[in-house]
Amino acid sequence: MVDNSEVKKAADALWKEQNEDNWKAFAKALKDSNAEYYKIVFANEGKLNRMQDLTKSYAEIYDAKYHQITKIPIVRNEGKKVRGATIYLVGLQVSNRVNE
Amino acid sequence: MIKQDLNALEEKSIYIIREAKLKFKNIAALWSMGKDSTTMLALARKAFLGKVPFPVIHIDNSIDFPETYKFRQDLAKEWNLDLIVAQSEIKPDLVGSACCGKNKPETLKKVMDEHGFDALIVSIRRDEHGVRAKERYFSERDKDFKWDYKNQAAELWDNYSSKLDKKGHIRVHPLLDWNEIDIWSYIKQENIPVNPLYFSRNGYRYRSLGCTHCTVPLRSEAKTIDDIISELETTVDEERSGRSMDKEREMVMQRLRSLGYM
Repeated sequence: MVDNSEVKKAADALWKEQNEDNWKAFAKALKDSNAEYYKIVFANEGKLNRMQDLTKSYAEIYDAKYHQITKIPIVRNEGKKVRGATIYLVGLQVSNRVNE
Repeated sequence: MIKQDLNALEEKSIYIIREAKLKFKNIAALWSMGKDSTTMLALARKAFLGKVPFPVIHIDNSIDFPETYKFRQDLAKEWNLDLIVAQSEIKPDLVGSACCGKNKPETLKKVMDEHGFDALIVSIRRDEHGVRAKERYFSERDKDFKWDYKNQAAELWDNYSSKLDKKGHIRVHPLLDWNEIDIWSYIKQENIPVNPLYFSRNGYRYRSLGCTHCTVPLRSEAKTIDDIISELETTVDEERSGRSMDKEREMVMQRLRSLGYM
């Protein structure tokens, strides 16, 4: 049975600090986990009016039975620059489920 | 939606792509990994014996769908594409039309200046939006990417103007005559790979793909291309009804396109 503790730990590290190493560690842990689906949740009910609405948004990660494994931020800060981080979810599929 | 003759559409699109390649010194194509631009690349491969003979640009604002990135990675490798990923930064004015009207064209402008492209193939279709219906096959943009849609040359007897304002560029639109059903029928006929987001999962699918924050899925049970075609034959919803920027204000698309949006 696949252990998801590594991907949870890597996600926790991302919430504390988003640096290149933490993102790479997360991408590796995600590949080794049994994550199957993602769902992006935007702050402010998806009405993104300010940068904070985006930086507070996150992606929930689920296994094949739609049990939530963890969640991660979807925007990464690179010094003064802000970039999206959805590329680190490559390999997962959108869940499209309305009420998980 | 009426299904047209795919052979005639294919022939005309290939003619336009070949004309563009012949007339311009440095041409590139935009690829969003959506069904239309992927179909255009398939047509280019057919026109040039299996090879896309120009660079392909993806304007990446870094919050596209993971499936889109995976599709980009896989198809670029399989079709041996000369892919240019132009990364745009997320800026505070990120929302809807402000993002598409400013962030994306600015990034495109930068990459076009860097590479000196004089023409750009864009896979828009007339049936997508009223404003796109005003386009020509070869459509001029000035140095600021602005489109003077009230002052365009007529394109009679398949003669296209390739005259260029010194610092501007020409947008080439080989798919203008196609409609959504034609695209799906051609994808089926030619077995063209498509982004998996177009197919239904848990009762929803994406009919038009953009970035994660401005695209929502629509209710649908279409799990195959045949299902999608059947759905399109009876739907009364617009293709871009899942794209938030189209709903913001009346004429927003006309304003965006006149400012350089694709």
